[in-house]
Amino acid sequence: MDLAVPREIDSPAVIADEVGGETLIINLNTGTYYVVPPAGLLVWTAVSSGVPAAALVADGDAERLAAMTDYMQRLLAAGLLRDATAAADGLVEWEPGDLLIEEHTDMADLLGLDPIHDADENVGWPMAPKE
Amino acid sequence: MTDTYGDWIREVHAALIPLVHEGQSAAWGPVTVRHRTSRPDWFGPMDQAWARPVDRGCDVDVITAAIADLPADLAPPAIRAGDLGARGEVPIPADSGTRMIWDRGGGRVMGWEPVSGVAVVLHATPPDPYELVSPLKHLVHWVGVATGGLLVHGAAVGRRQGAGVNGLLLLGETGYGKSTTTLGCVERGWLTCGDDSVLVYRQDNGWVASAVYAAIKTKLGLSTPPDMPPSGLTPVTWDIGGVKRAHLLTRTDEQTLVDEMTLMAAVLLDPAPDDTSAVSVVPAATARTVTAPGMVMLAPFDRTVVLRRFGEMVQELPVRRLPRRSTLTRTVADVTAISEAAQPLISVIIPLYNGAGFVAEAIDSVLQQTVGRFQIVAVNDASPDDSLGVVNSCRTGIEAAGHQLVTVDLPANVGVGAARNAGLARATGDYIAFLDQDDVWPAERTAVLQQALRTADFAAGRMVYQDITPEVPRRWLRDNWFAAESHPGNVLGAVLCRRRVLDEIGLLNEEFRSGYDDVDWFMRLRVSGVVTVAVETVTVIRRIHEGNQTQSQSNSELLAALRAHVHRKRGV
Repeated sequence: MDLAVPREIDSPAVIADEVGGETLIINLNTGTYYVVPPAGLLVWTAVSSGVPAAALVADGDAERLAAMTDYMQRLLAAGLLRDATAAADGLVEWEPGDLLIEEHTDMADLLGLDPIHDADENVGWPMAPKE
Repeated sequence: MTDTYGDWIREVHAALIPLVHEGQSAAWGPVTVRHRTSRPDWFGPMDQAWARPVDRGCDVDVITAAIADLPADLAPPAIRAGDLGARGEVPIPADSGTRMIWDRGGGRVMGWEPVSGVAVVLHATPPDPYELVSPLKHLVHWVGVATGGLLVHGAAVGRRQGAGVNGLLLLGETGYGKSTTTLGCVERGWLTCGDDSVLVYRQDNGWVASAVYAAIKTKLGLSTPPDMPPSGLTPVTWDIGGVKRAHLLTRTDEQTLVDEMTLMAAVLLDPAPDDTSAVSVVPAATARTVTAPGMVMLAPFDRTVVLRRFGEMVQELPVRRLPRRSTLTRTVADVTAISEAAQPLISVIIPLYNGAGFVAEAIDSVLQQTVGRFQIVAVNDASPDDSLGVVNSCRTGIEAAGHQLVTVDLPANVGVGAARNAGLARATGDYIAFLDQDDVWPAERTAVLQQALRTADFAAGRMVYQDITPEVPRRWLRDNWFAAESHPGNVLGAVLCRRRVLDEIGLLNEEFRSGYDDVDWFMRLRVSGVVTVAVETVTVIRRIHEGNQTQSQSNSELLAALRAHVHRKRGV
């Protein structure tokens, strides 16, 4: 795995949302969902928005390199990220202990098939009314 | 095993073949019969007394003949009178399925050898019209019992609901009013599945009546004698002792006499005149005691099996006592009330928004259910199109099929969750189901889910996707929707649940306006104590068209629903 490759969220199969520092991520292809606690928010935000993971690891820091490599392998194995066409800049302070991501499968059958519920305003169920 | 009588039946059958004429191959309900006779002048009319075949794998090759036609060396076996049963049963070995009666006094012999599937009916003298029916009852009884059925001395009346007919089994001894009640129901548009004799089978954990024939008897000598209503059937009619007239309906036409109906309850006709007492519940033990054997067709042989099956039936079907009323109108009103009470009402919540092009098919799929009494609750969420008008145009068909339609016209658009809740507020059903305006139900879904609810409060089947506008490219289509034959039915349209589940889980969260109200509801269900069951049958077809989309607003709702679930797990 090349940490120098910029990556982004593999949408539309993957959706994510952050509230109060905690990020929820759903892989709609598998129905697995992930919780990134507040401590991991900055790193997740960076590596999922085009900042190459390598840019977050100082040269020669073997411990952080190993932690970041493991983290990125988990994100890629979970199908959450894909290669991005352009790299973004970013600098994040982090500790190896921050790279947490919880994996949950208890709702996989509910989330795995993105249900068809709604439609646009003209031909089906309306979206939320425009302000 | 020595089966002397089975051997004799086969030998007689073979010996008579050169003498016989081909009759009309038809059926007494499930008993499919090839009839040949050596005496068409005696037994020819019997061909008229058979209903349309219902295939239950019961084929019988019957030869009717005069006893005098038998070759001398094939005369009925010499049996001492003392060896015959009370109804002429010959002493069949216990391990033989052969059945045979020898009515020495009446000059009739009737036998069936099930291994080879042949039967013989021999008479010493020409049978009278009624005898064209009654002797074969034994054959129907024997074959019915051998195929898991039960011949009941009763009548069955019912009404069409969707693709099926739901009915009641009327029980009562001769003279208790079975025919009168049947006739009263038929005159008011009901259907019958037989009068006098009804074959009953267990089917899919329920009970079905299977038509053999209907011998509706009307009383003669009244100032305005009741008579058969006009129908496409041509009854064979004869008078009985100047007191009654029998109208023998011999062919199912699905207009008056139907092949089968699903039994929802049994009605015990009480001959005691009583215009004031209400219909009452009859405990199963009482029903067994009171009805058997007088109301069970205890034909020769198999009495133990018949009584056991009858006991199972009245244990599983609700049984109601109906006193004799002073008017037939009152009786039919009570029968109607029993019928409706025996079928729990299923409220179907259909929210509407720009669904004019789809909702008629959705409603039609409800009407095509093989079982169920439905209250369709259509909620117009301020749709700019004529969705509600389309629903109202379905009203006649809905009500004609015995169902109800309730419409709710919301003054302003509130979103699908709130629209569903508005429907639930008007729902009075014992069971709740949901159907999206653009989806449809397979015809068997209610039958399957109702059966599953015997052991649970919530049942969900599977769902399939059907792309009805495949020519329109849509970025949001998912390959996995179509990759599998079906998917777990984690949508409200796949569900049937008892009303109390809503009380426990709560209504849909109205904050979810884009459609994830049901995902949130399912997540709440998962962590509840509600007993659920999943069935492997497809119970909803999700129709995908160019209109339904998943958009960013939906994604945020899904994430919000999931966040609420995470918080519940944490006890927040």
